[in-house]
Formats: sequence, C-alpha cells, structure tokens
Amino acid sequence: MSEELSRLIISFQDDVLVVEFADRRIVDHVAIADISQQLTSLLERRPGLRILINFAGVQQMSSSALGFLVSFAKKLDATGGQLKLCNILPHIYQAFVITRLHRVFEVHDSAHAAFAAF
Amino acid sequence: MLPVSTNQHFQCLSISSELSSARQVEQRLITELRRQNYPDDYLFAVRLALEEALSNAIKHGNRLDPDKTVTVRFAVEPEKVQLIVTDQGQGFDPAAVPDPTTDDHLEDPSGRGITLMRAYMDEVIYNSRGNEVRMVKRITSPQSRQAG
Repeated sequence: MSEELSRLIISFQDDVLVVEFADRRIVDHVAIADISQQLTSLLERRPGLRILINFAGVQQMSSSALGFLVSFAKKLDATGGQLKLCNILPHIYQAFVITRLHRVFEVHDSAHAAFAAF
Repeated sequence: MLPVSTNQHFQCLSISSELSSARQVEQRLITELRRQNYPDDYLFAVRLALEEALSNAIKHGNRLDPDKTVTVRFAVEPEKVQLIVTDQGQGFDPAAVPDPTTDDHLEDPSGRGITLMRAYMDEVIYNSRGNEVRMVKRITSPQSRQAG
C-alpha cells in the first residue's frame, strides 16, 4: 500500500517506511521545505520509525537537500528511529563524499541491501 | 528574466530575487552546454555550482528582496565555462563560513554550498565585497569532451 503525496511516494514494506521522490531534482528550497514538512509530520505521528529513503530516479540534489537530510536524520534519531539511504547515483554520492556526509549516513547500493541491513 | 547584453563571449542576464527565476537561467546555460556537446558530468557540475551561487545570491545576498536583482554572466567556450553571479546585497566574507566537513560542523543543517562549488569548479573567486562570485570549469582534454 502506498500513499503518493505531492513530492513524495510513501509506502510500508515489512514495517519499514519507504520514501521515494516524485521529482528528479531536489534543489528547490520550496520543494525541500515541503518534503521536510511532510516527513516531519509523519515522524510526529509515528515516532521511532525505520525509514528507507530511496533515491532511485533522483538526478540532482543541492546543498539545501543535504542539509534537510542531516536535520531529518537528527529528528528521527531523537525518536529512536533508524534511517538508511539507497540507490544514490554515483555523481550525487560524490557530493556526500565531498561534504563527508557519507560518514554520517548509512548508504546502500540497492533497496534490497538496505532492507537486509535493518 | 531580462537580457542585459550579449558580447562575443559572455551572455548577461538579470533576474528577480525569486528562486523560480533561477531555473530559467540554469536552463539557458544547460541548453548552451548541450549545444556545444559538453559531457553530462560537466553539465551536472556546472549546474550544481550555478544553483548554489544563485541560491546564495537570492536568499542570503538579496534576502529575497523583490526590488533587488541578480546578474548572471556566463560564457561557454571550447575549453572552459565561466560563470559570474552578482547580487545587490551587502556581501559577505566567504572565509568566515565554517568548513562543513570538520567534525564540529559535519551535522550542521546548512553551509555546504560553497564547499560544493569549490569541489566541482576549477576556480571559485569572490570579489572583495563578497557580493560577486566568479567560477571557471575547464575541460581537461578533447577526449573528455567527446565522452559525453
């Protein structure tokens, strides 16, 4: 069962909340604020979630998007939840490496590998 | 988006302090890069750097003031791409921005834009006032140009 919000596609698989993006580019501040609000609202309703953010299809991300991920990870961690990322294209993953965020996030090559790691 | 001038090298555009205006400039640059057969990895790098510079100019420079504009000049040449983004704000000292890759700032919610610009472009130089950034991305070899 999945719920498609304006910018996110949300589904549950084996008690893991899977988040996918409707847009190929996550760069716009308004879009990022919208995504942040949607996920924060979900977290408030269901603290302690295990969440997989699947970046399949995402072609471009900005520093604001990286900042949003950091903030969201902190909020999730404070509720006892877990966050994993997967399917990040190599040129986007490079931005994680440049900013050393690959040390902050648990990133997997595929959704299958990420599920196995929960 | 108003075309201010075009000379042999630089296209010059003036946009309002709205993030939606930035998309139009980016699209124009990408179209020119594609026309000159720049490879996809260059498109990604230049687009990311321009997005970060425009975002900084609009949000932090002009503070979204509708009475202020951002001027973008760019030149797509066979061997390099040059970008100059100028806002009408008070400017800032880029050296005063904390390094987001240090342990103390690794989990800061913001402050990664300049780091990404410097990583993806060959030159990133601010003017003394700090309201204008010049960026250059060179093509390393004819082979890399054909790779895209």
